[in-house]
Amino acid sequence: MRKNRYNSSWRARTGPFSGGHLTDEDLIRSLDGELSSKETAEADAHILSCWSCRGRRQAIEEGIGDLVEYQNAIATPYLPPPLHDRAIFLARLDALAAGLGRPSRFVTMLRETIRMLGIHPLNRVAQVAGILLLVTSGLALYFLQTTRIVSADELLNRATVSDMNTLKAVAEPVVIQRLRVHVGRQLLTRTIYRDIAHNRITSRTDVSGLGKELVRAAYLRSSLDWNTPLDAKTYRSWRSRHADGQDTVIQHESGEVTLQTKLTAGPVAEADLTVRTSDYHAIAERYQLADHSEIEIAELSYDVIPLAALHENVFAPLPEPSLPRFPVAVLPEPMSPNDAGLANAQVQAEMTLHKLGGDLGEEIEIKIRPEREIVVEGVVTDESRKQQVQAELQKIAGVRMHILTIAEAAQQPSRGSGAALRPGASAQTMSASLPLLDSELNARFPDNDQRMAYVNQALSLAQLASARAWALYRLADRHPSQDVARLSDPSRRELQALLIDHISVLREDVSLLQNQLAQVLSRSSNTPAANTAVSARNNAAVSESQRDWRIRIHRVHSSIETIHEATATLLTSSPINNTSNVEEIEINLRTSLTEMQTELQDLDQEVRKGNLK
Amino acid sequence: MSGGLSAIFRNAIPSVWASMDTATGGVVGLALDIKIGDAERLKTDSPEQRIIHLYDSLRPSLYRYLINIGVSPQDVEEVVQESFLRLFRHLRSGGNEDNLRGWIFKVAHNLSINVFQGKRHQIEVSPELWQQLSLSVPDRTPSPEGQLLQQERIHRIKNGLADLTQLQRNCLNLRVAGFRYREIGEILNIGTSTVASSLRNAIARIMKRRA
Repeated sequence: MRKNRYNSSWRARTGPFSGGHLTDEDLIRSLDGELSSKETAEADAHILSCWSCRGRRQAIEEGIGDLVEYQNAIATPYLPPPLHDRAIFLARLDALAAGLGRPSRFVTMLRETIRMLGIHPLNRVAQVAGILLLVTSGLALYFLQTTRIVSADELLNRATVSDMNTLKAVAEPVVIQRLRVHVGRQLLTRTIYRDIAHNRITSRTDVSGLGKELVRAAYLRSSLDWNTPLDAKTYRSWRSRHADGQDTVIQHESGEVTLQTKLTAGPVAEADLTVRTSDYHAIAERYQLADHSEIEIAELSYDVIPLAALHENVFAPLPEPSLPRFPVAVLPEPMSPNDAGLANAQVQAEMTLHKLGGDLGEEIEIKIRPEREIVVEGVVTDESRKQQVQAELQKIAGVRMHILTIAEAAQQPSRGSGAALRPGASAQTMSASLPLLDSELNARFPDNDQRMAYVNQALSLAQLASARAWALYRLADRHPSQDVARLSDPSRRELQALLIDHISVLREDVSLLQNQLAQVLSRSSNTPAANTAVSARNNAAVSESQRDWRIRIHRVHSSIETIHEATATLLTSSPINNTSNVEEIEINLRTSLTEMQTELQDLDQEVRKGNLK
Repeated sequence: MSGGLSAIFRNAIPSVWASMDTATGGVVGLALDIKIGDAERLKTDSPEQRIIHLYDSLRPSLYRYLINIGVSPQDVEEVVQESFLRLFRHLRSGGNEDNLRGWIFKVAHNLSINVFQGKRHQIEVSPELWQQLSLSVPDRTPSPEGQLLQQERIHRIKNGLADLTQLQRNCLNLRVAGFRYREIGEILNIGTSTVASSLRNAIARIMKRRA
């Protein structure tokens, strides 16, 4: 249609530029590639011979250029989009995906097939016939495979065989399993990579170190396997250790079967494993613990890919069989350095731990003993983490290590306050009231999952900020001015870099938390009084001694702890006797967050300028 | 149904519409927001992975588009995220995968009109900010006179845009974002010829102001 119209008319058209010239619309279409190839060739030929049309086309191009330039100028101040919003989006996507559940394999297969049919243009009859054939085969397969009742053992056998068959289909299979784990208030998403052939496992979680450790601690207390959750083989192994278990198999109308195991003694009172009847793949697991708390695991995705498809850094390198393994006992004997050497080694140890992420909530401490040696001691989660920390620290001369795994620490009866497990973390009191901001949360997030995701994210941010403030606090305490004076220039710069790193990230965390909380804090808490308080505090004369970075860090730490506490008080269930004034807490929280932005900015500038003292 | 994500890349055309941006991450308008090599991989990704990939790829240009159609900066990210969450639901429910870029712009465009109508406003540019913005424009004419002329042209474009109808502005903005006439028509629910005439009239008005 368009071709005919243009072919017949554009050259002959008359108008403001009569006499066989191109119209403005023709010129714009030509510039935009909206003419047919024949029309384009004719237009180009005309422009070559016609100065008038060429000049008009150039003017249009310049006009468009100015327009684009104008739009760039408008948008530039807002670009690139803020990075921290991406994390919020991923959390929202995760919550939505969890809410929608995983599509069945049959539906996925059908859609993929339809898509493929679309790619290869078949005629409509063949497409319809193909789809009908698929639907019929799928239904037949479904009804043939559906088992009405199976025993617990049979169910676990089928689930194990199903997983094995999936693995057999891929050379050197790596299982990538994405799970949502819910323990008490903690909700996290774990992605576990399992290299089946070489028995290697690595995983990552989407929450702070502290949140992850709380969940992992709940696992360990219950003698459950942290590395292979939601796995039929692991469940069977766990079940076989409890001879008193009573099994019940429940078939759901939704096409799933749940194996329920009840125990009379031990840390776990009841456990469920749910599998799909279509392929007997385990999709959900639940442990009800003796202290009435629960661990719930739901599968978000399960994929098996060849090892070669993964980046080589995903797993730890395979051990070299020819190399002897050095026991901890033969670690090099630390030297006895002088004071400056000790101080420098301490900074090196701090930087090493920082790079390993060991200074954010992990129970590792650095101490200088009277015997003039630095001791790094603490409790880490497992043997691999222990090896990792030791391997890095032993490169620093003058450092002695005393690192235990949680299992090793548990065997030491008088470990005292340094234990990694924080007792009572999941044993929440049963007599709790609603969150102080319950009505605001319900109004802002009517959907339960979204509300929970929001609260978890806010708490996680507050915890992260707290862990970061603690790391700064420890650095300030370990480095009085006389100690900094002893440091060599490289060590001083390293300490400075360490401080800057923590402060920068803390600023970001506080900013994120402020944005997050603004969604539920009442507008009334943003009162002139609160702003005046911030302004007054900021304008107050600060003495020289108050400008010292250590004193500033102490102030920051104290405020962050207040913010952490206020966030938890407002968003989570509080003890019944909590009679705090909500409005007052909100105003204080807003004030502290605003004040913190300024304080951290000043601290950042203070630490960055010149030589650290 | 045919084409899938490859439809995103189908419409790469040479144009003057996307030749200007040098300061903030390259050409945005007509840029191929997703690398062509990624297209095949996208087809095999899970819906979540695909959405994340699309979000990372399309977010900057969508962000710029929304700013330019007047969504306040405070609301832009919300519109962007809501659009991609809707795209996720769309893909999960087996929705059509032709031209996902067009799909996401259409949804974002409608959201910016419907959901945020109450709060939506044209970005107000204060004289001070405007001066700053004018100075930030890439300087291709080193002489002070040339700079003044350039700034003057930009001022005139601003005034020219104010004369346009909403439809003309929408067509211009989508064209700057790199869409073909057919796609603009689909996004705005108008015919291709209306798109062409709107663009012609819009450019004529801008050039009149510019002269």
